[in-house]
Amino acid sequence: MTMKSNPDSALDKWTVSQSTLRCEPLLSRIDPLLQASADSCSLACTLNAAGPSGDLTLDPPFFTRLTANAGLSQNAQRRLLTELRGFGIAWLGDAFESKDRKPQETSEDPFVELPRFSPLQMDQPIDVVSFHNAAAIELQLFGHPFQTLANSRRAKWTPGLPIDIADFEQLGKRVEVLRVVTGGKCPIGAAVCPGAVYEDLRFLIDSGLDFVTLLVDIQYEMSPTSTLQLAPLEPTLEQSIKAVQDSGARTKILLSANLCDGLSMFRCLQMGVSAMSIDAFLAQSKPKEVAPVKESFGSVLSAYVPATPGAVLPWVKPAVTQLMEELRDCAIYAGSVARHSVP
Amino acid sequence: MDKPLESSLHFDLEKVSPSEMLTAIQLHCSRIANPLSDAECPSVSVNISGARGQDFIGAGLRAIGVVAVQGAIGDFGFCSFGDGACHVEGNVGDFFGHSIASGVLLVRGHAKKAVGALGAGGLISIYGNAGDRTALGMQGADVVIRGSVGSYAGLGMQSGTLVLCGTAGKQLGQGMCGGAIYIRGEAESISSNIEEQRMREPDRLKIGMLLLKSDIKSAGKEFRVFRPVREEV
Repeated sequence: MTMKSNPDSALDKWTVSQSTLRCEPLLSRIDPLLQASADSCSLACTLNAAGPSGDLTLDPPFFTRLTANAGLSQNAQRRLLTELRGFGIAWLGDAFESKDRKPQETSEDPFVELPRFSPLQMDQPIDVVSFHNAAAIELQLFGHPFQTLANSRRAKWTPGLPIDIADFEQLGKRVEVLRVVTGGKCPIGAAVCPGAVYEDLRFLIDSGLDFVTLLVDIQYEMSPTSTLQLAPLEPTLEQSIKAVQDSGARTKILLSANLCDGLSMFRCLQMGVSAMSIDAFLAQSKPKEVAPVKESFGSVLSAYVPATPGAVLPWVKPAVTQLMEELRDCAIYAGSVARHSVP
Repeated sequence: MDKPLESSLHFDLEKVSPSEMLTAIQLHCSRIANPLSDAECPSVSVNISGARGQDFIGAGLRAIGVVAVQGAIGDFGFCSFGDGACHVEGNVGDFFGHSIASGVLLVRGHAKKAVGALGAGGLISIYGNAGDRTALGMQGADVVIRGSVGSYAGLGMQSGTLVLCGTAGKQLGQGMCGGAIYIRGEAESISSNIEEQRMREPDRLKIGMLLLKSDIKSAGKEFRVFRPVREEV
């Protein structure tokens, strides 16, 4: 697999055996010198769109929702994405727009380079302009429409369908219309909070979604203690994987959970998850002395002072590099990666 | 501003799919766009024939001139429409004009459920009747129904205007938080979320203007106006 350019690491090329990511038995580890010639595949996750040119590859299989969940200012988002730029990590959020509603596109903006999941809230009109440059569209199947109920921390994540869905067939049509307006160039998915996991997943898969993001834990701020657990991880994951297998569909499962190290992430990959959020990992990795990225006095001032990308979150890049190395080590241990093919 | 170039296109939906049509129109617009002009897209006249209730016709069309559709269209017709005018000669299905951003959609026939759902701007005019949940969750668009509507018209409306020249079904204005409903006939039942208010001159002017834009000849009299109940402080 070829990783995106990573300036601080030698993780340029490494191969993974074609089989699943389960630990290989010793019998299949004989003759390790020849393992390099085995069929190789990638840990990367490919989300298939309706059109052939719309497939999205998450390589490495990571994404962040901090840009949408943590209430970051535009400058803070920009700083975070600048740090993640070299890794090709996908992010969830609206395109940053200038005053004339044209999405900004300059080579200096990291959000143009990184794959963007464009969120579509349950009460939000379908706006083709907001899908400009989006790598994927994610329906947000939670919350209360028009904030009609108190926006408490947990109630905000109540599972729910878009307000225009009156029967179960209409979600499929809504997905289809999104495919039409985007010309089939984007995978269409949904972020769902665990409720009746198996039934919900079967329904979403039958509606023709390309991927489902399970929000098991929410990182609502860039702080180690700011994690909201919505459901236990393993039973939720087991039921969702079973739902995918029973449906026989190619729908991918993406996961947002409190995963703070490479081993737990690798276990999720082994269970059948295709890509994971690194939000909890980033929050755990943040040194205590670093000022919070959330709205602060500094970010208010930064509206008047030119931002210096990369200077504020220096710990992000080494932390993500270390995470990728941990994940690679786990793959080597499991026998999924040919040892001598790793530089 | 330079005058935009003009051209016309014709599509037979028995030969091309709605998504192929959309791609062709976008390609055509980008090809003939005048790079020296300030206009974002040239004005294009599109004639669509062979419409027999196919879904998603005109979905995603933006910044175009005039679209004329001969026949009936299915669900999610002209979803996310903007900056143009469209005339449909037949009936339309569920979610016609869903998420409309701007422009005008005129339908000579009847409409099914949820006309103008989540519409953020623009005008939708239906000459016939409309089904349940008309103007569902509307956020700034204007909808004019010359005939009658089904139940739950104006459900969860946030802003915008719903003009009903005929009657309405059950629970008119359920969950409505903003905007106004003008109705000439009777409603089967009216939600407790809205209350009748006195018609003022701006209301009459607004109705008259919307009916004029909708190409409906009416003086705009005998209407009543309903708005969300104001919470007492």
